[in-house]
Amino acid sequence: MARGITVYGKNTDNPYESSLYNRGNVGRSGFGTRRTTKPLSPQEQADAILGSSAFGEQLSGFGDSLASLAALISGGNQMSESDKLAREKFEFEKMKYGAGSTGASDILASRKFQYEQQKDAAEAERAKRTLQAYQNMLSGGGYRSGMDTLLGMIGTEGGRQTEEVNKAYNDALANIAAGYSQAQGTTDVGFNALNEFLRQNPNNPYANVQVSAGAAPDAMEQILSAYGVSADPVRAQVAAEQAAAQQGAAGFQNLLNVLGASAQQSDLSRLAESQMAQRLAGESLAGQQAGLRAQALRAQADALSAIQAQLAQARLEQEANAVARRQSIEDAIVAAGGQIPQPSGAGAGADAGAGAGAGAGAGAGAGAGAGAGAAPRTERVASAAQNYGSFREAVQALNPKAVAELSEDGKLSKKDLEELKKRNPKLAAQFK
Amino acid sequence: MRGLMAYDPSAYEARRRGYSENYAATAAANQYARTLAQQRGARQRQTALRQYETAQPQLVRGYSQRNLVSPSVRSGLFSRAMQEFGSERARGLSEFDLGQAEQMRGFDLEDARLLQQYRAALGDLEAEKAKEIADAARQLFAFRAGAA
Repeated sequence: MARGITVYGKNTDNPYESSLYNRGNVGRSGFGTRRTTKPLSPQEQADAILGSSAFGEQLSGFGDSLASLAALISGGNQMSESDKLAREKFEFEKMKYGAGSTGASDILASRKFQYEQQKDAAEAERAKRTLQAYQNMLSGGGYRSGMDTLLGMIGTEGGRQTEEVNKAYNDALANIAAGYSQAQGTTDVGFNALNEFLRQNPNNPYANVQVSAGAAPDAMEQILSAYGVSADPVRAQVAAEQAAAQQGAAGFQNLLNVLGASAQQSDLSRLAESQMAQRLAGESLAGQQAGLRAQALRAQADALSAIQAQLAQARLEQEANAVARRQSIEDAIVAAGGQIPQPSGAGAGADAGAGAGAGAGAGAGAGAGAGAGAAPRTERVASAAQNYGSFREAVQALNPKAVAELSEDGKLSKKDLEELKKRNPKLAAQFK
Repeated sequence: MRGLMAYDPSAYEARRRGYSENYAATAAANQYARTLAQQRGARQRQTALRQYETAQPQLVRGYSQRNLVSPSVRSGLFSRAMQEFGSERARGLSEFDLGQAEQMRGFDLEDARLLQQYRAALGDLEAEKAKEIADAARQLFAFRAGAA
């Protein structure tokens, strides 16, 4: 930076210049009057400069002079603290006012360039990590881990609701059966009482009516014989009267028989009516029971259908969310200039398949499982540590078959986990 | 849900008591009337017998005053008159007995008819009760099953 020690001034009115010449020993060349005075030490010169309050304001336009002064200052053998401060302040003011067209501005530009380089590198690194994270989410299926949990909850809730509906249906059937049995018993009691009454009270009161022709009057035989008169005509008359009386009794008996038969017929009719009513009541109860069973069955079917529809709708929404999220991640990867990882094998197109399967109820469950396996197994195992919080979660998601073999209810003990780690060493290695 | 019809046996018991009391009253009245008619008939028959017993000596006395009958005379007119008297007596008593028997049969018939009517009413009552029990059971069944 040393640019010589020649100091140029425009005029002698410059307070700094005058102070320099008045006090220092720096020779002046060029313009103005040359004076020879006692030279000032560097410290004295710096103090003279810095002591002026108008120093900063007057710096502009005196770049070379100031540079010379700086060289002069830096050329000192011994730099005190005040010298260092002065230099720093000088450098700062120099940069601030653009002094030194090739020095300070270059430094500033260089530092700015370095800063921007570092900033760009950090941003590039961050973008790279973001892109990698997106790709890992896509290949590992992590983008739909929350949705798979929700799908599992939806399936569990659906199962619970289905169980409740089935329980309600079974309770209804049991209630119907018990009610039918009780109603049938009560009905039988009523009609059995009627039948017993009809058996114990045969309604034929005419059978007990006594019918007789009555005693025939005497023929006055003793009186007639006492007078020597034959009683034959009188006996004939008595016989005729007796015959008429018997005919009257027989006619009455016939009347009683007719009335009795009518009463018996009425009795039988009432008995038949009772039996018919009893049978009709039984049939009515049986029909009612069948109707109630059908009603309960229909209600169960409606409830199960509604549950399945709700589950399918919920699953469809989740799968749609998964597809939308996958699409947004793919868009983000494309926008970042990355390459979308292509799932291979059975995992390909899992979101689409799951979305279609969700409409079919049970298919949604399979779809949920397939969604988690969007990436190949090797990739999912390799990125398990990023997508799952623990070995337990990872093995449950990636090897459910082995989990099911060891635990029916899905709960894993330490022993089970050890066994699973033996069976899945690569996966276990991710969580060491 | 329409109101559940409750089976009330007390209503049937009240009707049963009504039937029984009505039958007892009408049957008793019929029996009383029968007894009165029987007693009246018996008195009338005794009266008729006394009239015949009174008339018979007068008939003999009339033929005797005309010397148509004596211990040694037996006229054909007397014999025919006595036979006609005997036949008339037999016919009169028979007609009376027949009328009395027919009157008693009327009472007996009424008695049997009242009993038949009473038992038929009880049978209808029991049948109605059994049907109401069945209907109540059916309604209870529907109510219990939640279909009412």
